[in-house]
Amino acid sequence: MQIPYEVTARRDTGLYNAKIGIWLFLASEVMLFGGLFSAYVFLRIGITPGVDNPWPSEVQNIPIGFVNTLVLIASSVFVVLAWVQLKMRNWFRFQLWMAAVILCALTFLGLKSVEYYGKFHHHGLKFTDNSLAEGIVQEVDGIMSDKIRFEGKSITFDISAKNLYCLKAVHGDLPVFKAPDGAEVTDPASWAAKKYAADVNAAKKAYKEALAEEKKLAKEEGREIDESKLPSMDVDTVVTLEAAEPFLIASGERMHTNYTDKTITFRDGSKVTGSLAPNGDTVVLEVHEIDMQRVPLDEQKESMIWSYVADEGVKKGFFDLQNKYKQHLIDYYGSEEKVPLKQKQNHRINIHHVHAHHEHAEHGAEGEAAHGEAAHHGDPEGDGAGGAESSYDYPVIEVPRSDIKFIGNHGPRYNTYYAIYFTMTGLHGLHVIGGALVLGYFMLFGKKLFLRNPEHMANRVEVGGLFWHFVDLVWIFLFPVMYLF
Amino acid sequence: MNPQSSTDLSHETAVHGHDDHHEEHHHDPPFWRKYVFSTDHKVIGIQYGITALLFLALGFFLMMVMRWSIAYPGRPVPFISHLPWFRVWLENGMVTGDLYNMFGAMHGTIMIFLGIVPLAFGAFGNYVTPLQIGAPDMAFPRLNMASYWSYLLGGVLMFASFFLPSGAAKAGWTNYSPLATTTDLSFGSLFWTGQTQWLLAMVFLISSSLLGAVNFITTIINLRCKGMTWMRMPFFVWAMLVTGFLLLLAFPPLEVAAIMQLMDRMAGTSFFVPSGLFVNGQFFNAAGGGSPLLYQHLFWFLGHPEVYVLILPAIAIVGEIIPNNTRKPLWGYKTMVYAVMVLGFLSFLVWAHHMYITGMGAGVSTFFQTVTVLISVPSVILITSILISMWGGSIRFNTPMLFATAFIPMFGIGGLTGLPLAFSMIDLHLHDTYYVIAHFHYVVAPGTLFGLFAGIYFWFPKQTGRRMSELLGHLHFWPSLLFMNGIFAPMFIQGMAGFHRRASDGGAAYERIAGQEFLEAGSFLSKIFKNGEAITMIDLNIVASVSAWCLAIAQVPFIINFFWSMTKGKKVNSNNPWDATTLEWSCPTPPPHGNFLKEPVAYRGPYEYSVPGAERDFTPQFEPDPESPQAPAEEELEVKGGH
Amino acid sequence: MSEFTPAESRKHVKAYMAVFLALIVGTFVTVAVAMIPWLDLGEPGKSFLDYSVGLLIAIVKASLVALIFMHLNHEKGMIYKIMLFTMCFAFVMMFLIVFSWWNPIQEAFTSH
Ligand code: HEM
Ligand SMILES: [Cu+2]
Repeated sequence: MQIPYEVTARRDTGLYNAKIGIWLFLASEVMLFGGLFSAYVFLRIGITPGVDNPWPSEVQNIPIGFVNTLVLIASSVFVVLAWVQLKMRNWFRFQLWMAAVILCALTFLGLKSVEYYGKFHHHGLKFTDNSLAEGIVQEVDGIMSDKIRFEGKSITFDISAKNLYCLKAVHGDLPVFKAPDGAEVTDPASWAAKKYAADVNAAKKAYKEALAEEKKLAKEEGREIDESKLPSMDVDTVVTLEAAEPFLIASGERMHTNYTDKTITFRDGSKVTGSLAPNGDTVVLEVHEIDMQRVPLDEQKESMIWSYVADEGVKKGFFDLQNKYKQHLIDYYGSEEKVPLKQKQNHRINIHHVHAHHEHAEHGAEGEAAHGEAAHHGDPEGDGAGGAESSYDYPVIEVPRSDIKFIGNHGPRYNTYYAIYFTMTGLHGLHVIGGALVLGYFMLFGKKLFLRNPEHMANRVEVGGLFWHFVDLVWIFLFPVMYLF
Repeated sequence: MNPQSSTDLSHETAVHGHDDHHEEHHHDPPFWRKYVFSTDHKVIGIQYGITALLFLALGFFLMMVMRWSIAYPGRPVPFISHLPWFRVWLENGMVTGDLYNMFGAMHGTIMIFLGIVPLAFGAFGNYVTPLQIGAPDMAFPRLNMASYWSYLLGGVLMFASFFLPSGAAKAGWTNYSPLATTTDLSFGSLFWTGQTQWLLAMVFLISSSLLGAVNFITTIINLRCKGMTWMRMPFFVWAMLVTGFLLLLAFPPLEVAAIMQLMDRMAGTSFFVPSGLFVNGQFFNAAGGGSPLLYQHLFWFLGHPEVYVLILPAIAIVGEIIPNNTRKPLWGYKTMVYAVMVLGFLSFLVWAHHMYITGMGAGVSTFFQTVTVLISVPSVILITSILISMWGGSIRFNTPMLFATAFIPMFGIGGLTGLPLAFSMIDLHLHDTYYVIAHFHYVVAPGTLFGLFAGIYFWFPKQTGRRMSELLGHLHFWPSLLFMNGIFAPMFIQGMAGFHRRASDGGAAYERIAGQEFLEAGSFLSKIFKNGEAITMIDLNIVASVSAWCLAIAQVPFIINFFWSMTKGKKVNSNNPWDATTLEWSCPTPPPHGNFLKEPVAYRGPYEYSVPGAERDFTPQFEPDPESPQAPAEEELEVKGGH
Repeated sequence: MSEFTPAESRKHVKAYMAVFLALIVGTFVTVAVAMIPWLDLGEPGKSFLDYSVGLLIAIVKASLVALIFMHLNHEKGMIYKIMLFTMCFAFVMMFLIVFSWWNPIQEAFTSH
């Protein structure tokens, strides 16, 4: 059986099947990305000032995004050129252009992963007064210092539940535990399962025996069975295992629910008892950026951030730049009263701009007004660049949890901007991978079909190309929306 | 199943021996290629149908347990409390709040996404559409197979989530955030919780629907046979086309919502988590800044078109059966076609009528209220046309016709009770009450489900060569009709009295609401049922529950009928046992791989019943004009593009 | 289109190259407007004008891709119909979802 119009177009619609199919699929993709963009706009507009995190800007690495845009555009051209070659029945040249497309796709993905890496290694630390220090979390004793570090001596958990979440936070090798009966336990999960089964069986058995006994008694005494005389079938499921020697716990934000200096409680209710490591709840951060957007202007000078970033030069540089920018605004609007409130508060400054500013000042060069704006106008080394630039003198601060409102890397959970950035670019990246796989398949394994029915092969490439252009088209919007706005 | 080659259609017997595409019949593919990983649209349709029926049964079972908890809260559930799974979840044999929530969420999910839609669109759409437009198969047979397997995988995932330590999803079929984001968070592995698995399963189900939709639309656009112009397509095909577009364009936003919720659960994002959220008295550790309203928008952008996905195939099946059994053309075929297109269009513009009380802006509420009222116009056109088609016909009341006829008033009740809900002021009172439950169940249960039953009875002979038993059919129909109304009619009353839709005790805890008088003391019924005491609103719970269990018993004749008739039913004596006019009745019984023995041609419109001057009371689409026995000139039959 | 002469292909390739150039220029302009201080349109920093210009260029670029690369400049009616409805629903979705932030009743009571 042959399906009609697989290769040739139907007369009245002028289309072959796959062409309709791919356009329908693209229609659904339009709705998919339409939904995502709608979510973007909705979330961005819906931010309640003073309650939600402000929508960050100037945090992207624009050069990388820019290059990626060009790469995708080029690949789009290469796809059509490949298709033209196929239409000209030139298999080898088709393969060449296709190879260029795949190369572009790989470049794109490579640059994307550099960006992702940079974000995951860039942290933001929000103080309780909403001032924000961004930079790189340092390690303490080989553990990232944004984790709670805890010296455990025993674990307490429910053996009827299968999860022992506390063990996931153990740093290094799992310790050997001692069971209440003195046995050695190397694998608490399977030990728990066995013990639970044994306990339940024992309780059941005890119950059965008691029931038989009671039945006999009841019969002898000619009365009903007295339930209250029977043992309960419930077993004690909460047990504590002592560790043979102390072990180290390193627990991130979503693992534990709370901690004291004696115990730390995990999401599934399991607990570790011991003691908080010395400074186990302080975060050590190398500060790269300071962001005061959420701090009222008149409180910025007294912000608690300055008690940690104690370098007077940095502080002075910050306010110099701020004043410079303020002057720029006053020039634009005419007078200070006319400057909209949201403009004045817009302040995020990279430490190396402060340094650069100092140098200019020292060398007597009349620093162009652009410096204040460099921070404002797309910081070419946003957190996409990774932690490569350390020739500057970045202050390293040590902050106890009690002064921290929120700490996290610039991953998806940092705020809704990063959430939608990762979701959208991630989905787009998956599309790139999918498209590259299909086109790569055509390039490597399409010859047989090409020899048998070149038009069919050309159709396939056309359809695959349509998908590829669409992926490019999405990026054309993603780039300004995510990087520049 | 037993092929019937005898036929009363002369041109077909003539070509039977020497048709020219018979290479396919030579090598019989192995069993697993033919029935398991088949690319034949009929086999896939049947696979869809059987899987969907099983899921419908499962969903029904969940509902029966819930109805026990509602009618007799605090009493152990009979029969099931010793089953191993239930021993874990029941507390002293009683349904707990958790279990009730789980069953509620899964009942809705299973019925809608795994039951009705696959049965209506997947099974009937797959089986009937290519036959009716004279296509050898779907445009992309392998995609079709992928669509079924993706559905099955989603279904299995959904079902398997019952057996996780957390149990299945518990946050309602609508899966609203932040509730859905924050349930079962105490489990160590968030991935292996029912709530997360629900999202994953949905991604598979959505993919399945998208593949299906692409396939259906392409098939209808490009694979119509010679002469099958747009306006000669049976109404069923039109409905499938519109349904396809609904699925294609409405499902992606739900996919967005599912992905975002998955991110919220697994990656800790805050798409739907507002700032300052507390869960169980504890600060919810997330950045905040998200919006639960966004979830509802994305969900209902699918949600409302989805209800039309539920109803359109049923209307279409009824639209096929009614003309056939009244022996009259479908009244206002063209009007119906335009109505169904308008309906499809408008259904994208009404979604937020599910969200009047969310605190969404009043401006947008007004817009949605207006469009919601507008959309009832095409719905009424459809149902009125079908009703008028019956006027003055000599009606054959066989089983499919019974179900099809009953569909009309049942859908009517459901639709009309939707109108009050469309007004935001009235909805303030009725939202999330049993009134809403009654509204949509009238449309979906005695509505869509009856339509689908009608379809099964109607097309059964095409596949098996045997009719289903009329006696058992009647035994199925009448009790079903009675008990369907027994379940849902009381819910209107309860809903208006203020009963909330998600209470596991059926509202008993709210004494002032529960104790409202329904029938006064000493009235006739109160003497029979309550020793003369007044019958209160909460007593209606028992009426509905008992009806529900009886409805289950009423399905027994159907199950017996289904299996018995496959081998023992009355054999049909032609390929066209109902004397119908559409193309599917021209192919052999059951249709072979590739469907038609000879290239089919549509010579006329789809509903030429009782044409004046014709010999018989039906003139099939596939019969050349008896006036001019030669085949019409080629160009006359050329398919015309567009319309 | 099944017959594809070298002359025709040259015509195609020419068009593709022109579009390629336009896309690159568009990208440069977008980035320049966003990054170079003296090209800052409207109010200092990001403003409505910046967004509009950025989006406008993006729309032009996207249209070029759709029309030339994806051959929408000479496509069949059916495809136009499908995409027209799709775009329509996508815009409706975005517009109505965002529209729901607007609450005239609440505003009347809170904004004095
Ligand atoms: C004639 C037109 C209809 C109108 C005006 C209408 C109106 C409404 C409204 C306003 C609601 C929201 C009630 C609330 O939650 O407070 C609703 C709920 C619902 N309707 Fe309809 N409806 C109509 C037809 C249908 C049809 C044909 C179906 C399905 C096949 C349907 C299925 C549903 C469902 C499933 C819900 C409830 C969803 C939920 O909250 O779980 N409706 N309807
Ligand atoms: Cu609705």
